[in-house]
Formats: sequence, structure tokens, C-alpha cells
Amino acid sequence: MKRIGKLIVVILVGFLNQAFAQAEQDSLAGAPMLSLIKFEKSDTLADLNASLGGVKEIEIAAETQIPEGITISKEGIISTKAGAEFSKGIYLFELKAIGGAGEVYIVNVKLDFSRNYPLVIVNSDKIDMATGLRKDGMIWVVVAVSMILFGVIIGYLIYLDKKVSKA
Amino acid sequence: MLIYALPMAWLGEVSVQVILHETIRNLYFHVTMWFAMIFLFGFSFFHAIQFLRKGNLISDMKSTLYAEVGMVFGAVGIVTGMIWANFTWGAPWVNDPKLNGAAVALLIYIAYFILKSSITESIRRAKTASVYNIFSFVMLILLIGIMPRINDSLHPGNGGNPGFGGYALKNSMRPVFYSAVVGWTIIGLWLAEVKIKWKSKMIE
Repeated sequence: MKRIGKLIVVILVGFLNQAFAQAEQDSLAGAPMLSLIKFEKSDTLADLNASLGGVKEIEIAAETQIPEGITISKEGIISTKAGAEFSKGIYLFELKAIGGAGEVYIVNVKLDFSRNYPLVIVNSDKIDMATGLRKDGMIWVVVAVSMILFGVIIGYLIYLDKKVSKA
Repeated sequence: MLIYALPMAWLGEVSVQVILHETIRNLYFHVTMWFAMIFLFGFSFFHAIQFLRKGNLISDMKSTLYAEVGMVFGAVGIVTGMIWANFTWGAPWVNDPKLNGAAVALLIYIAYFILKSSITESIRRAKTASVYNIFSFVMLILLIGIMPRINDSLHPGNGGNPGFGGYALKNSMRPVFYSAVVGWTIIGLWLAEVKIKWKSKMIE
């Protein structure tokens, strides 16, 4: 009887031990693990200068949040700092790039660090402004016409004012 | 002020925005017209109250003339807005609370002139028109200032669309814009003054 009792205790302890070990394993699996992606050396993620055919300047709006560990050079080289660590996830930000001829691009950068390897998606939209009109000086014709029209309105108002005051 | 603002409206540096492109310059024309219009309707409202307080018919005349000049600025504002909408939204008029509100506000003021011309007895006409003028101004503020902010709107500055805030408006645009607002308002007041002088001479 004693032997059977000991056997039951051993089985129960073993079973409980197994159960606790499994629970511990499960809790570890569910617990948030320190999930980081680390760059040992400085690494270039995107080269806007090459992809846009020359970048003169990069504008970053005051409200734009560039992730810590990312550097953006004046020429549009987006790179990581040496030893930079990022929590796994997706980072999005917007830049404005001024091209060599003064053309403007809105650049949307998506850094996908949710996997074990970084995925960089850069989407650039050129914003067409009337640079040609300014370059060939035709804008001065527009300015001259609007100033002449304005002058005519003011002249007529002065004339009317004088006429009404005299009458 | 306009001698500075007009050339700068074409030559000055502006915010580079997707969709808007160069049409952002309409801020110096369309928005300034509406600002001038609101000031002129404000003067009209003030003189309507003055008439109701003191019973002076000159105040009623001033109230009408300020409203007339305000209407001119409102009409130019609507036309410049429609030209802009045609390029930006693809249609000169869309079913939007701000646009419909602006149209209704101007129709209310048109009704003011019809009301004024329909009553022959001068004191009764002035009293009715002054009361209606107060109603019109309150409705204007409600329709173009408050209603589009309650509802969703396509119009810049409403419904979460960029307007005057931060990234949307480059700081270099502000001096040009404010100068144009003040300039056009002064031109409007001057035009109204000329009309007042002329009308006063006619009465004499």
C-alpha cells in the first residue's frame, strides 16, 4: 500500500512539475520579448540624390518626426547611425526634396522594421509648379497686366472721388 | 499695401503642396475678397444698429451702401473661388457645406436689397431693412464661419483640410496675405465712401 501511495505521490509531483514547467513556457511565449533591430554599422537605406537625379536641398517640416537613429543628409541620403537600435515596427515620415532644377518632390518614406531584415519603400511625387513661366520671364507679363488693371481701378476711383467731392 | 501684395502674389515664394500646386496663390485673391466682404458687411451691420438706436436715415443709407460694396466683393470672391475649384476639385461647384453656405449667405443679402426696394415708405423701409440686415449678418457668420466647421467640408481650413496652419502656409506668405486683406478692405471702404458722398449730394 505504502509503495502504491509513494508511486501516486511521485506521479502527482511529476505531473504538477510538468504542468508548472509548461505554464512557465507558455507565459514566456506570451510575454513581450525585447524585440529590436540593430544596425552595427552606419547603413544607407535610401539615396534620394540618385533616385531623383540630383537633390539640392531637403526640407523637413517642424512637425515631421524622424525616428531616432536615422540621419538625412542635405543631399537626401537616408541612413542609420552606427549602433542604432529600433523597436520592431513600421516608421513613416514625409520629406520635401528640392531637385537640381528647383523642382519639388514630396517624398514618403516607409521603413518596415517589423521583420528581421529592414525593408525601405520610398515614394516620390513631383509637384509641378510654374517654374517655366518664371524662367522665361513671362511671369512679368502677368504682373504687368495685373498692375495695369489695378492702376486703372485706382485711377477711376480717384477720378470719381474728385468728381463727387467737387459736385 | 496692394502695390506690394499684387506683384508678390505672383512672384512670392509659396508653399509647395500636392494637388494645390500654384493654385495656392488664390489665397491672395479669393480669401482676401471674402475678408473684405465680411468687414464691409460688418460696417453695414454696425450702421443698421446705429439707425435702430438713433433713427438717423443717414445711417440706413450707409448701411445699404456698405452692403452693396460688400456684395461686389462677395461676387468677385465667389467667381475666384469657382475658378480655383475648377482646377483643384475638377468642378466649379461641388455640394459642400462651405460653398452652399456662402451661396445662401449672398442670397440672403440679395433678398435684403429686394426687400429694401419693395417698401416705399422711407422710415418703415429703413426699420425693416435694418432689422433684416442684422439677421443677414448673423446668418453670414453662421453659414460661412460656423456651419462648415460642424460638418465635414472639402474647403481648405475646414473638415481637417490644411488652411492657415503650420506646414500648409509658408511664413513668407503671411505678410502678402495680410497686406492684401487690409488693402482690399481699404479699397472697399473707399468705394463705399465715394458712394456715400455721391448719394448724400443727391439727397441735398
